[in-house]
Amino acid sequence: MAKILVAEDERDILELITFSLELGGFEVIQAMDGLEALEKAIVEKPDLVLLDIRMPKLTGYEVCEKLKESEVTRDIPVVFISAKGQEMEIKQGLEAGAVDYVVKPFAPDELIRKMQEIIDKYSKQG
Amino acid sequence: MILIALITWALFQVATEENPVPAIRYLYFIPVLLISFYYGLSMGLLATFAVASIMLPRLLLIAKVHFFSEKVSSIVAELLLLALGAIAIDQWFGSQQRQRDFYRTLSDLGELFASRADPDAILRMMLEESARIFGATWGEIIIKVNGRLRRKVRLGEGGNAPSEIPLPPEGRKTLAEKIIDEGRSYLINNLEIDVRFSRWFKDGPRINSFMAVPIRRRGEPFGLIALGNKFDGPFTKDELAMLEAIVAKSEAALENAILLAEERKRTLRLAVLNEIAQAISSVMDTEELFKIVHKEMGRLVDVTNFYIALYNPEREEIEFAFAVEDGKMLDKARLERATRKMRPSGLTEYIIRTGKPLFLPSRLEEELERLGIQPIGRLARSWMGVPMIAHGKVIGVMAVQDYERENAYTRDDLETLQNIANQTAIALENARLLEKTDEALAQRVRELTTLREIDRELAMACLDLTRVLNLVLERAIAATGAAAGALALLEEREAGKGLYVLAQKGYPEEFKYYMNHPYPVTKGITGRVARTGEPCLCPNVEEDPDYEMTLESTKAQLSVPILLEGKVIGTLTLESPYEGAFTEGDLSFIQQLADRAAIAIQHARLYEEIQKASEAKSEFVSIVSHELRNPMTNIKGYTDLILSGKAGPISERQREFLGKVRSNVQRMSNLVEDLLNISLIEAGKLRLRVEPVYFPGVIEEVMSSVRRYAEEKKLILEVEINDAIPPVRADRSRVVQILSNLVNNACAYTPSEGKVKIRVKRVNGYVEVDVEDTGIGIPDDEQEKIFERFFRGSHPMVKETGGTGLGLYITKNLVEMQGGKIWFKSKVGEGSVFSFTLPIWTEGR
Repeated sequence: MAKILVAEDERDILELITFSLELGGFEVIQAMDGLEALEKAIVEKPDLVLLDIRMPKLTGYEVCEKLKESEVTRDIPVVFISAKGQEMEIKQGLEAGAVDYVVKPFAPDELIRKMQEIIDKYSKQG
Repeated sequence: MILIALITWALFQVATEENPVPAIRYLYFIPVLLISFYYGLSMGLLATFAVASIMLPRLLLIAKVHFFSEKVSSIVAELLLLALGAIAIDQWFGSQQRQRDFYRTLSDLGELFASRADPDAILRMMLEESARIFGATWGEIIIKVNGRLRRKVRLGEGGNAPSEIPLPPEGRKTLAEKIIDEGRSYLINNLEIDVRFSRWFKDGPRINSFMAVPIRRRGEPFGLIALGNKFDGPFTKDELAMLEAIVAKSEAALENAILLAEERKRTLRLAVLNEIAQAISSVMDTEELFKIVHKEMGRLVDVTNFYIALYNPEREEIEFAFAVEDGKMLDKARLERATRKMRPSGLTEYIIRTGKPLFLPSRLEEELERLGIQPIGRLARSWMGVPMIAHGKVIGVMAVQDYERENAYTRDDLETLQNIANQTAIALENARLLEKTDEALAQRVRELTTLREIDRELAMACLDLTRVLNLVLERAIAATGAAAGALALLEEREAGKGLYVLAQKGYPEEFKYYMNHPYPVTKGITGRVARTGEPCLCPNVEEDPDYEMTLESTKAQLSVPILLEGKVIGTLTLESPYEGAFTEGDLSFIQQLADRAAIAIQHARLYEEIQKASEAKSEFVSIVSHELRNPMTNIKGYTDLILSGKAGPISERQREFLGKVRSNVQRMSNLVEDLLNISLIEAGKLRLRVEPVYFPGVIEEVMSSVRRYAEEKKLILEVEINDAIPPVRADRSRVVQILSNLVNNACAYTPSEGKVKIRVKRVNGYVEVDVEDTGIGIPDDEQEKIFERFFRGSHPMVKETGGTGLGLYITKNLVEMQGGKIWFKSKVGEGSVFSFTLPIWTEGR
């Protein structure tokens, strides 16, 4: 079962994503801020990291950059959760090393499908 | 007359035979005689007739008693009366006829007079025609000029040459003077023997019958016409009246002729003045100008001898700038030799000293002596000279003289000469000033050029405050040659209130302290300028008690306030190591520069404020839309989860309601997205990632998102695209946004089973996309508002559709930002076609 780390500081959204992904058959590890996300990524070595951008302690970009700096976490694909229409955020996220982004608000079905596609793609490469 | 007297007398003789007092008979005779005498034959006959009528009964009585039967007497008397009446009427009509004939002649004369433009010719004609009409053997016209009588025209011997009439003995008036002074006509039967009148003149004619009529101008008698006859009987009163009529007729023509002559002269004067004025404005060479003045003046008076002398007050000299002697122009050398020191008794000097024109038409010797002037060289017979006055100063004299004739000039000529002299003087003075001001002018031109350059630069830099300030300071330093300069603005910051030096040059490093700390307005000359708003031009700083040293080498300082709407907003200070380095000219220039800077500073400040406000707005919208997104994500996500049944079973009713929740969240999400787009567009912050964009891919993406909705509505979707359509130069995501917006609108406003068609074609350097529908169409009155913000149509179908009224506004902006155009055609009930273009991609652009 693929393991996804979800970092999101708003609990309701975190629960929604968790519930959706678990329905899709993923194992979900939750983090409520940037630092927690970074620690859990290193410890748990998930198959994918789903990062909100605006988070306490460390922003999504910073978490992404740190993940890419470390040998251990470098190959884990990172996906950002971004508000629709915020092209600058998306662009900055991609520059920080993310492979894709999910636009808020999202439909659970789409989220599951997208996560599966990315994991399939990167696990094959890996 | 005698006939009347006899008839009357005879009648009375008979009529009053029985009168006891015979003398009374003659009483009837007297009025008849008087009437005949004064009013002529016809009136006399009428009077006789009247008397006879009164006497009729008496006459009848006498005739009956002495001669005939009553019947015969009555018939004879009536016949007599009728005969008398007939004669009287005939006489009266006869005089009327003569008068009519005369008036016909008179009207001819009037025309004749009017045809002459020369006053003298009219006078001569009047005299000759009158003499002919009245059969006069002698005649004269006399005019009074300056109190003296002058014989203007004369008939017969003596010819037409005008001559002065000798003055009469002291205290006595000649008849001619009487006629003019009293302004009345005279009829004298025998001039030679009539004791009531003194003789006509000493050299007067020997004539019997005489009549004279005054000639008037504007109602005032100024001359007379006199006619005389040596042998014939006396002139009658009728004839006098006729002469008066002739004179009256001539007066209008005479007046016109005089006015015309004056007018001609005036026109000529104006022409001369005009020529000279033109020459002055076009001729730069003074000698050329003098030649023109001489030539033009020559059209009015004889200028055989003419000169222009200039006065040099520094050397107390008179220099001859131009002279013509006996028709020949003197050369430069001759003119130079004539230069002389001012003489106390000189003629030219007299005019320079008094600043008044001098008019000497005759008797020069006496006149000059009276004025205490001693002329040099031969004496002219007529002389006139005028001062040349420019800006209130006499700069020379212009004079003309005649060695042969007296009275060669009139007062009008003098006036014209004065006019010409004034114009020439001003032209000369201007030429002199121009030479003097040439250098100053060049300086001014340089300043203006600099100011214009600065205006241009400021216009370009005006939105950047730092650039504006540095530019102004640089220019100020360059224009004045200052060693150092500073531009400070009065501001209130956290560090305190005072002058913040925002641009500076030539000061030591530590002076930069004042960039972030206030320079107090209580300090130094600059502080005083900021406080008072008065500029300061200080040639030597040691003399100014307020001076505070910043640069050791400074000797001179120039500080001006930067004023905006009368309030000091800053200062511009320049310093120089040279005493008196700044001039008044520098001060005025720097002040102008500061005035321009003030405006540029205001613009830059306003722009900064607007920028800040705009940024704050974008920031606000961005934050708000972010904050809205999270709750929307939750609503949408959980609704979807419930709808998917993964959170447990739900009833159909619950599914229906949750569907409504979902679609409303979608609407809200669209609105937030639109607002965010607008705030980015309006703040100019929407970034475009330009790349080659291929339409087939774009259309595919748009179609896939709209397909399900179209199928639900049973709409036919059609695409018409040529394979050879080139890519456009645009941001792909924005092109998708544009097209999906138009297609979504088309689908939304087309009823079920309608058609929506996308057509892509190449037009010149652009790709044109048309989105055609068979929808409700846009009413004419709504068409022009369709691209406005928050505009929504009034059709019920529009109301049903959840929209924000921002879609087309954003679409239009996105098209135009990418170099394209958008437009539409629409007809209510038939449908709409929305079209937009985007430029074809070309490498290297």
